[in-house]
Amino acid sequence: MGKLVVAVHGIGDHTPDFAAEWEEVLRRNHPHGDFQVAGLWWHDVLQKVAEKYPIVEQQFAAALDQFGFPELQKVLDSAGYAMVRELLMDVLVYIAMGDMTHYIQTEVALRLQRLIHEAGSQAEETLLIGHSLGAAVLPHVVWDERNHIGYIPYGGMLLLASPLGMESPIPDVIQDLLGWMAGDSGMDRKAMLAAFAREWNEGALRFFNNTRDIVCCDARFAIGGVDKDLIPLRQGFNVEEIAVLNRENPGSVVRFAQGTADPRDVVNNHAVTLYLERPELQRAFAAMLGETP
Amino acid sequence: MRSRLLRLAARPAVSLVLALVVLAPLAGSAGELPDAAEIRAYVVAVTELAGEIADPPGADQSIKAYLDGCAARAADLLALATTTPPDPTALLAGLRRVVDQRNRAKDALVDLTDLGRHLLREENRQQWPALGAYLRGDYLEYLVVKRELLERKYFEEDDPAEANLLEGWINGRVGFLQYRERSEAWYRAHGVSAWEVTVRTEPVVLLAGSNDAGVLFAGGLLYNFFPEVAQRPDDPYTADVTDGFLSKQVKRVGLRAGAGAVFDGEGPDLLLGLGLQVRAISLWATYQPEDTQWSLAFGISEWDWVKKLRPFLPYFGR
Repeated sequence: MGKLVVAVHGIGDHTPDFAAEWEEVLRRNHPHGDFQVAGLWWHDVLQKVAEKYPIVEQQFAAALDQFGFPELQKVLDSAGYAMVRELLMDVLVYIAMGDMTHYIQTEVALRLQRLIHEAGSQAEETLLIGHSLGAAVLPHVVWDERNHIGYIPYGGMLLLASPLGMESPIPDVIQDLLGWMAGDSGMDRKAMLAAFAREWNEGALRFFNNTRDIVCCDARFAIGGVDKDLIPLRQGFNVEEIAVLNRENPGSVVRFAQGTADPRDVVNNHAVTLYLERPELQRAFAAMLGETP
Repeated sequence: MRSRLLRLAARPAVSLVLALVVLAPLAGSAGELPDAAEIRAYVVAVTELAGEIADPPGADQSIKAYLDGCAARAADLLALATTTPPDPTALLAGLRRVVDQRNRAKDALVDLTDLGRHLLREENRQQWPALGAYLRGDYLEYLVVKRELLERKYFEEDDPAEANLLEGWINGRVGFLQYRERSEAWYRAHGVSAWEVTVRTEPVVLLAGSNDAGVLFAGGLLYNFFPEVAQRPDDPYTADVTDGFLSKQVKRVGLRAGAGAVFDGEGPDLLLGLGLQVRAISLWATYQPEDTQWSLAFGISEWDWVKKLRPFLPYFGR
């Protein structure tokens, strides 16, 4: 029996069959690979939490509108608020409210367990591929499992555009994603990354980071003839952290540059298909499948 | 196996652990827990890995100490696996304890040499899974129970869509409110705190003195009554929930305090209130400083109902 490949999407709108697109790319590039793809859909969980915890209560605004105070509802109906909500809420609900991080993580972990069971597979024969926020949730899920059973049982993990390196400027208010993994262990970022990388066999952990992608790298964009970092916080691993990952698990950080430094390409530079088509990913995936070069 | 044991026993540093292992009687299987033979095989393999390190260990001191610690803890586990009569509960507790101690020891490893990393992978990926895999069922149970209790606390309310980001942040950050896996307290069920803070705006209708309507911005400290939660025997991925009277009928109770405005025919007046909440319904003792008037008020932290009363509340919002 071949490998089970579990795909985990990121933020944005995704339907339950989202993994079909991923599978098409993987099959095209690995026509002889013995694997099946299962999508771990968790968009509904993010939506459920986002709906319960809006920035402002929608019902409150609607009631005020009905009783003669329309101002708040106008703000909530505005395009600006919709944009803020679309861009930020999925991320905020995952990282800003500790119990909701637990809730989402637990739901994803349960769905992963069930997917493997229903596929008739084993964790050891399962490869995990996460994109964007899904590539931060996956490390959280497997680390929690490791804390319970003492090891990470999965065959391999490919993390595309993972925001795991993002550093919170206000960790006392919003913990960063690595800090969440470390929990009460007292490990700093580098110690956490070292411990995580060591848990995997060599070649079984790969971060793929497009240096033009603002989600996983401090990408600079040409604005008015000047190179600018659009986000005023550190998104990617720094040089020392990359060195730690590569020391503990050689080749675990793969960086490349694809796309333009045009701000209009921010979304394109983050696209999952861009990552899935990369030759570096195809080589790593082939190795995890056990295909001969 | 015998020749490996003899070869390893020649090393003074490992002879004590091996002596304990070899002398331990063979025991039968403890069901879904590792048996003595599996634990013994782990001890032997790990001791053999430690034996690959030169003496003195030099730069490999930390991995040597780690492997020796793994062998010693497993030897203790072996003793639990060979008690008569068998005690699965103690063995499971012992296995969990070994995982915690071993994880802490692994996380503390720094500056490993290439040999150290190799030995760690051998122990972690090749040897430990034979024992750690027995905790997978335990892990699944933890997921099912935790998910169900968090679902109960945060989503199975009468007014689930009425929260906001601030409320979520507080409940996830304050120690006695947030989930804490290792914390045991009378108000926690499997790490989930029964306490919850609410920070919400709420419509109220005064019941005495006048029938004016108002809005309170209120904070509350509520206590959730949890059901008993376990795995379903026929589907271990879902929860088997057993409700008692309090968890089914009352669900949550608490005290609230708020300030806002009451809308009478002459415009909004300041309104202060102290409330008792059961489920989504609150009974308020309200005070209007302008009129030095106390009143009772009724509120539901759900805005849909008050919209239906709009025709009967002519002054609201004018």
